[in-house]
Amino acid sequence: MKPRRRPVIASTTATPYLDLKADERQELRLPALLKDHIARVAAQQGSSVSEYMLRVLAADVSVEIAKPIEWHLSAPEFKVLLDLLKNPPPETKYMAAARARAKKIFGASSHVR
Amino acid sequence: MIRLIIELLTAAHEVAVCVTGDSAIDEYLHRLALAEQARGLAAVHVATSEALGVVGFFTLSPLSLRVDENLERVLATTGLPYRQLGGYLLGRLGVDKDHQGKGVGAALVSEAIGIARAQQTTAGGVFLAVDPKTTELAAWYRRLGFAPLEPNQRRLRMVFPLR
Repeated sequence: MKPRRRPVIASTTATPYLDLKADERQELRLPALLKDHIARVAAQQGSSVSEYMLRVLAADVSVEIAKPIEWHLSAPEFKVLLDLLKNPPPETKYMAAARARAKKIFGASSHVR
Repeated sequence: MIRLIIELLTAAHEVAVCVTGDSAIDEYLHRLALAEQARGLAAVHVATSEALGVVGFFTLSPLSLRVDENLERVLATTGLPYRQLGGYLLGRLGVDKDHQGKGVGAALVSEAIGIARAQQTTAGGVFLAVDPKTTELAAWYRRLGFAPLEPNQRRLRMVFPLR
């Protein structure tokens, strides 16, 4: 018996993505077993594979993308950063010229001091 | 010299006229930037004029740099006074093809530094970081005073101290 289709109910956080027009394509390679299981779970939930994958991905991405961006540095990289902050290099000629140009181009709206 | 205003992106800005020649940057500006800004993920600053529309843009986001905890445990004696520092990421930057080669890009980086410095006085943050996609771009940022975090530059992540 064909499973009864039910409307996709998005989580609150995923809704902004699912409200958008799905007009892009994404190809991916995946293990045959995972492909089979995706199809089975989607069918159990009354969704098409596309609906199911979009729902799951949108929910996960909406949580992850909202997290503050973090770069994890190695200890040597972090030391480089601390040294730079402690002893900032002098302004380069190129940057001095860029700063002067920014003031001229952007006038009163410039943030350059 | 071209005269522009720098301001936050709104729905009223004509972004389609800005074509940088980099499809990923163009796609972001034309289709994604406003939505991303609306979700608070990035501030999108555009360089614009009534006559020309949007000529260029850049994005700023908060960024935290932290020392890898596992590595720190292994080394144990690094003696680092801090484990985490906050700053800003200059995420995307683009200039319309017709206005490239005139110093607008460097002026936009200068504006990004100015905005980050203004934020620093109210919200903290001690650096502006970039993650250039090519060695040519990394060299350009280096000329502007950005320094690579990794000496052998396997990754091109760079920072500019906000002093």
